Amino acid sequence: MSGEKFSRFHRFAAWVDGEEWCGQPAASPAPREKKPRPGKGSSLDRYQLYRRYSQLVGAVFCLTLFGVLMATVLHLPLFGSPDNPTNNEVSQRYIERGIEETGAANIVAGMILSYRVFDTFGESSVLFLAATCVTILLRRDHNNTTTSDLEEMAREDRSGKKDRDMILRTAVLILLPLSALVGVYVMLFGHISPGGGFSGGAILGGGMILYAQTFGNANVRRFFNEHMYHLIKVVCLMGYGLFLVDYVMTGSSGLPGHVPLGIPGHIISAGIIMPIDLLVGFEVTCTIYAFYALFSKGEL
Amino acid sequence: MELLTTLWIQRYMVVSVLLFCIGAFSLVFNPNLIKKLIGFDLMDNAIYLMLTSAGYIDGRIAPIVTDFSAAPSAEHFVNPIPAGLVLTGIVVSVSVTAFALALVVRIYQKYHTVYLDVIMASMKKEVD
Repeated sequence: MSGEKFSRFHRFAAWVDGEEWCGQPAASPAPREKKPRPGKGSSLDRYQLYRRYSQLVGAVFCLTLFGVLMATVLHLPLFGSPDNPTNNEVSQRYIERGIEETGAANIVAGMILSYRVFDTFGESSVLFLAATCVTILLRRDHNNTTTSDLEEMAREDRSGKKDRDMILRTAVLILLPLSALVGVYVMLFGHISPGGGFSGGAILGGGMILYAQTFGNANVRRFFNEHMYHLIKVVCLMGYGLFLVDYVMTGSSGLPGHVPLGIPGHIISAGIIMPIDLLVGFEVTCTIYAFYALFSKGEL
Repeated sequence: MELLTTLWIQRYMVVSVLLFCIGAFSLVFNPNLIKKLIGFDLMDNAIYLMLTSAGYIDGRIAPIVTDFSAAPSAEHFVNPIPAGLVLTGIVVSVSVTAFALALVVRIYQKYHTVYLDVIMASMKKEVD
């Protein structure tokens, strides 16, 4: 019994590494042709049966879900009414004492980066973990790259270099500084206006993707290579963790925070919120660009 | 008539239920893995719409203070809590979608298809 489990684990590990599983010699890759859909009368009758019944069960499930949810909607508290049970003393406290306690004019930013900063740290860790998992699954190495893949990539690179569109290049050169500026602005002003680390990072990452699409990944690699990516990502998450530890430890001991809250409405205010927004923003930028680069080319 | 009035007042909830059910249909029925993921994202977005609409209060403004002369009153702003929850949810859904799409890419590299029934048939042949 244990032997079978062992071999299943080996198959899984080999699949993660991009190899054929052990027991078969590492053969040349299978030809890329679409396998025919199994028709009726083949040896797959049990699958046809399973599919038909699963569709029936799925239809019943979805219709029941729809009915139950619509019946629930009729009994929910009315939209837009100030007396709804969601508008209770918690939100009242956040609004009335938020500025005094966190210094942030944007109450949502004050809430997620001061009152609930631990939750947001978990969220950043989830993003970090997702980027790591995608890197594990999609990174190119000698196990999962064939010579034909490499040739295809080289051909794409050559054709990309040859027919670069003049209009596209000029437009990107104008848009790129603007998108970088807007991204950093949204990050920096997250505590006094709508925005914050995640949205600013997404804008900045989008600008980098635009640049990589137009000028090729090799040009991005001149200022943002894999070493840089790991450095920024790890330093940002660790910096966030340090701010969090300091904030939680001093607060739980009843001490005043180390970072002054400043005057509400000024850029340098709101204590730890602005530095955390910047750190989160750069981490999100790295992650967004890494998703693009890994899915399109398999390397940063 | 009363039912229709209630449904009109709750229109955001009704749309979010519709989106959720369309997503669930596609997640259950569609054999294409990518379309399953699109259905999954549709369900995510239905939940965000529902949460945001639950925090809205008629005639009030977004929770960003502009007048610092007096302490802000809870009478002026909508509920900020659902906005924070949705912000967290969006980031987690981006992470989950990226991870799931990476898995689909690897499954395609192995089986050369994204149709779940074909994949299951080939898997059964392998086990036999």
